[in-house]
Amino acid sequence: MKNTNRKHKNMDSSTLLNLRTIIILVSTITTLSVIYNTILMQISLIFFSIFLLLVIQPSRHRFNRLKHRMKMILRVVISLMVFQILFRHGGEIIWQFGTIKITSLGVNYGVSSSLRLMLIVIIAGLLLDIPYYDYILAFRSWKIPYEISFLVASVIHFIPIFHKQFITSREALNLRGIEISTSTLHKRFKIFSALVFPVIAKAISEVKYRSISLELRAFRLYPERTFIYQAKLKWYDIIIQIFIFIGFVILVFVTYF
Amino acid sequence: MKSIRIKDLSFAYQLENPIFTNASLELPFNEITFLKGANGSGKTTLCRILSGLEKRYIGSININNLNFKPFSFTERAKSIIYLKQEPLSNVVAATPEDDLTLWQHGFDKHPNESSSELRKRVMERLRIKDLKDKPFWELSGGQVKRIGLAALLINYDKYWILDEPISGLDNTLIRIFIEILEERKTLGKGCLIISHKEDKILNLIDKSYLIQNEHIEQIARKF
Amino acid sequence: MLELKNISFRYNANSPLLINNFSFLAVKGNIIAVCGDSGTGKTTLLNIICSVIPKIFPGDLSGTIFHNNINISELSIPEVAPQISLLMQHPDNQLFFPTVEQELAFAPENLKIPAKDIIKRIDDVLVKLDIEDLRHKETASLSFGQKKLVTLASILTLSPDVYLLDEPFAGLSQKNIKLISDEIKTLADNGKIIFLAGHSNDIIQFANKTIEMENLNEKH
Repeated sequence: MKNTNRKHKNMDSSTLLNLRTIIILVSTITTLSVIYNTILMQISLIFFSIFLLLVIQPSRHRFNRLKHRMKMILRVVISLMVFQILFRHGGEIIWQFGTIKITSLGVNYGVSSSLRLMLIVIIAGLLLDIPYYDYILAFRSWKIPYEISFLVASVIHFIPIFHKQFITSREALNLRGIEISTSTLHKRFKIFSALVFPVIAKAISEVKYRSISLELRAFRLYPERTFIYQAKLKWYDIIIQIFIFIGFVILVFVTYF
Repeated sequence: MKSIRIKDLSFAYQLENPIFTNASLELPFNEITFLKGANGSGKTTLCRILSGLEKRYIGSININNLNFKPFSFTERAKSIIYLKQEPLSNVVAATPEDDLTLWQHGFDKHPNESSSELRKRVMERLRIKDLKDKPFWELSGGQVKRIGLAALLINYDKYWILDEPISGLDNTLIRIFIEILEERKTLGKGCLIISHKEDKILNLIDKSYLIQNEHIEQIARKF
Repeated sequence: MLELKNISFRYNANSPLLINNFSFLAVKGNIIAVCGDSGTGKTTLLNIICSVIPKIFPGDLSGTIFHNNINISELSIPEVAPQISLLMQHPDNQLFFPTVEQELAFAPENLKIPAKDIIKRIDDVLVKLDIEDLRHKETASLSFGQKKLVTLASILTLSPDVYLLDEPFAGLSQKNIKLISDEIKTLADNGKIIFLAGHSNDIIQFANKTIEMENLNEKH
């Protein structure tokens, strides 16, 4: 019986770069973002992350999702920025009215921490969009016991499940003629609790059934298990990892000597 | 005549896999329409489109000659009620009593005497009166399904859109459900039933349709 | 050979016995229909047979269950799984992986079966249930009926001796019911034991033994 439909030739991972490489890149990006708190660094890292996102799993759908997420946190980002600019003082005073001061340090902090927030959202989106099975394979190649990999991976797995349940509850309310957009603030609070409650209650009651389903398929019967997939490192994964290592060493060298 | 009329409906979740291409269907409110189709053919999708959960379709859907698309959920809920296949998807509150109260009053004022009478009668008819304060996570699949059917009775006058209403019900409950459909029929109230199994409700069906090849075709009643 | 000896069960001290001193013997090739109205204890009985009650769901259980002369209460649930496994009613609680293929691989991977043999099992099962086109599809995007087929397939790749199927036909088309029924008959011919719980008449017609739950409930 020939198997004609195999998407992954050698049962490799679904992303262009191996997930291990991606995790290393992401750790490097976040470390750089924290160490170098300049606006220039944040902007370059943001561009690089977006580039990474588009290269790893290119799709218009993914790009639209990114735009949607950016729109959603825009309000938070702007309020954070304004707050920092007004209340962080240091460096030279750019503008003053009575006791309200805007300083160069405030502006620097405000803009770069808002940019960092955007960076985190981009990266989190990148990581969460990768099917969690790839995480299981990545952790396995780092010799992490499979129970822990499944545990971490299943936390990632639960996020879309909670999201789906939230949508189901919202649809159930919609089908009864109750809509968030047309309700008063007071009612919105009640609606929100009605939405969150079934999500949590269902999740808790389902945990037992889900663990039964796993155990009744012999999960954790033996200390090891086989995997039908492998996530091998390709030549460009290795090159990128070497580059990052060298870059890191140079950075430390330049910073401290 | 009061009805929902679907004309030249085209819809796809992804462009490469269209679900409907120029499909048409008429759903008279006083008739029981039966719709069947293979798994994945679009039965649930049609329900989602009719109930307003999916709006990105091409074609026209009219309710009593008014374009249905711009209707808000609140407006739609005045004429139709859609009961999903998965029983838990229809339940919002913890207990049957709370859930039915939510149907009757939304998040508004407190329930009054007459509405609690109706709830009691409805739960009695569907044999869930003793379970009225039990949270849904302690109920069996069939019992949760009955909460959904109770909600239908609370919305007696609307047009019912039912996705697999009798799967998971025991014979007693199926009999009760058929009685309810018969009563409503004599009062001129119909529904859309989507199911694989028509054998139990054969006598009640006015027209049958099949979803196949992205189209909806009427089929003969003998199966 | 599966032997239930003097099984009695109630959920708590205040309720009547849901199962009253029930004994039953199932041998290779048996297809057993478990029938009864809602609330009579069909799912409960299946949960008891695979020892989920009392190991995960609490309750007052007495009596013993032997499979091939081993008392299953002495085994952990993962140890029971290769012998007796359960397919629950709601498919959403039994799907964990992004794609169907990964889902079907899960059970044999846990049994440390070599990757090549796992692929073969997956190939066979996909053909048997006529769902080869679902192989690389996302489990989240499947219709209800497709999910039911996939969860059944994920137990078929486990290939236990005893299958406990809770409402396997609910929500399925006639074509799929026939597919699953044929597969069940083949399993029985190959020496498996299958319990089917449900209301529909599809179950009773090809079973060779029946358990009427009402007869097991304690009369009050």
